[in-house]
Amino acid sequence: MSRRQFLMQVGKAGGAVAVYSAMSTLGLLGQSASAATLPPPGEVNAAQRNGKRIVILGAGLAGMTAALEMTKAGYECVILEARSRPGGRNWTIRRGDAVTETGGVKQVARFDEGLYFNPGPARIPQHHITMKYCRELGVPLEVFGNVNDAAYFYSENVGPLSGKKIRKREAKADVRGYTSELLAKAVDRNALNLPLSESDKEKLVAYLRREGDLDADLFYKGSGRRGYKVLPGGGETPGVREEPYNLSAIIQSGFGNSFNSEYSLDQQMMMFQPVGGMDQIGKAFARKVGHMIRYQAVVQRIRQSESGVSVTYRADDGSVQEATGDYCICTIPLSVLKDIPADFSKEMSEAIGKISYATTGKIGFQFRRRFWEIDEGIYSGMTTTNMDINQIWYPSSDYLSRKGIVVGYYNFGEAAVQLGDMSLAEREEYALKQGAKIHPQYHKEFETSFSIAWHKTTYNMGGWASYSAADRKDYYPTLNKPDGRVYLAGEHMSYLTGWMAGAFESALLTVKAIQERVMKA
Amino acid sequence: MKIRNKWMLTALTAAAISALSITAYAAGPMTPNKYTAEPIHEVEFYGSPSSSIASGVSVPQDMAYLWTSGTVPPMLNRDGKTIHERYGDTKTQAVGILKRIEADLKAKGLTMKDVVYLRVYLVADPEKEGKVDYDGWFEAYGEYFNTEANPTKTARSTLAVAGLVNSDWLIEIEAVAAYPKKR
Repeated sequence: MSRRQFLMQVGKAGGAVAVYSAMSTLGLLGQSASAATLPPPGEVNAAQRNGKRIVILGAGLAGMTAALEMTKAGYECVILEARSRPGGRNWTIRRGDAVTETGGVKQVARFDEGLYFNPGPARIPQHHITMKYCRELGVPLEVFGNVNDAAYFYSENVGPLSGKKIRKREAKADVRGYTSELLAKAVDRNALNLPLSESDKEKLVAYLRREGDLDADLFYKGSGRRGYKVLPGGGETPGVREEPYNLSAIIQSGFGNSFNSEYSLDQQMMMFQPVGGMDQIGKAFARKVGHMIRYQAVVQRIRQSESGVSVTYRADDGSVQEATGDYCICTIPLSVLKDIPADFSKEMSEAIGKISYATTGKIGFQFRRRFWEIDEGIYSGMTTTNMDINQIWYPSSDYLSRKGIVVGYYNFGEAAVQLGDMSLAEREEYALKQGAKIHPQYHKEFETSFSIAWHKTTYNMGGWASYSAADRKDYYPTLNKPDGRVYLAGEHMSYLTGWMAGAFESALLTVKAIQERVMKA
Repeated sequence: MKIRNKWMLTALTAAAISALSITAYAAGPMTPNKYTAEPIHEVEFYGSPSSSIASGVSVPQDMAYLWTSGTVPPMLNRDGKTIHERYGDTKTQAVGILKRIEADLKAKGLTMKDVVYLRVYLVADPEKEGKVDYDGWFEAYGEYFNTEANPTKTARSTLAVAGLVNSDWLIEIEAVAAYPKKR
């Protein structure tokens, strides 16, 4: 008997609970979510008595996770999804895909077949629960190059290094070299009142020499780490180094202030992406729960009573319909939910309306030649600028192939609003012009673009929830509690806002809360 | 030695070419390889979101078209004393024509959503001070296009002419529709 046959036999005899138990025993469920350990399976059969039917609003990652986990525990779920596709912000743009932003014109992606652009989430840290779901759903991953020292820093109005593209490795070697030199000398000359023995100080200086690549006299005079004018090679080619930038210039550049972005836990290498586009995750979920999804179902009203929840929606044929259930898991972004009539408590309505969402945008540029690889030796990673385009991302897939899609801008705040307010053609031209300061190949090699302003995207109206410390104190606790029979879930109900993991973790907590409530009933 | 020189010459030439081409890149924001706006799976309508018509429309190359003839209004009352009694005013006539076109399209499996272009001929209405009732036509259009039920905004030409075949007709409309592709 195969493992699957065994589980089916167990299922026939003992129902979902027994299967769950058997699966746990067999170790098939993997590591459970860090935040939410689901109730012991023996008690889940309370679902047979009460709260069987769950109405889930939104077939993004949170909604589909909730449906997957609730159905595992024997609940019946229906998912209302406004769009005609699953995934929500977990989305990949390919040839022929079309989007119309609010107040905008229809935009059609003209990328070549086989090329894609992730307008939303684009990278996965290895400690996120996202990895677990990719494993469970069989989504193949590949490395996402979040850090590449071959890429550039480029800044304007920052002193002598203004308007120059500087390889990140040069900036890093120089900043680390000079600061190590300063500290090593200070320690060496006892300029600091340190609670260290002479032997400790020697060890500290030894470390700083290695950290900064200092010479025997503790001077930083450049380093092979920053690259070479002529690379070391065969025969009699030892390599020719370049002089480091001077201390004042490198400090004025401010490049060092950007190093920490890759130090944060969520941005450290290794990072990953699904092979073939981020929407492989959403599509894998839809293979499991797609039959529960009603597409093009736009929620018009949320009502609840002592005994259940009723959601009115406009169906794909234009008719107004109703979905009812014992509980509702609402994953609609707060930026959209605030405009949907609902009989939430006064506190909940106020909290929903108070949370602001990030303004953010991206553009995908298709180039006919991978000049960043061929001409400049950059394979994945990102260039960091202080221009409105903010960043340029080089693709982490299909290296050495002919064409590629580069993220021409990924920006936030005012820059995102400014670019978002432009026409599609203006966005493209603006980003090409700024990017061409770094890559003069841009205009000649450019073929087509697709841009997104998340704060102008219907059914999203923002990139992610953007809480202030005061919001977390004043409103988040209210949002985190069920309003009667309605539970909120999604990245906005987490401390992982903007990450897919926030959607997963939050959905699991909601699933747990409903299951526990049903058991107590 | 000769070979070495040749290599160096080639390298220099390459450097010169690449320097030239970089200068060319920097010289002007030309995008010689930029794709055209050729549509892919669907008809594409262009123009301002606030306009009630499209400024233009593109149809993918593998879609088929339907052209209607100039379609004229249905008679309302043969015994009417006036044009308005016999055929209605411009708006009434226009609505009557659009209903006819809608029925023609339906017979071919099309809907008003598939209309990409309208050419509209109007004549002056003797019962409205001899003026062309453009607004009457625009109102009729607004009942069929750019609505919640049918968001299609067609490309359109609206022109006044000296006369139509029947002197009671105040309007005649030609429609072009594109057959949607099964995806």
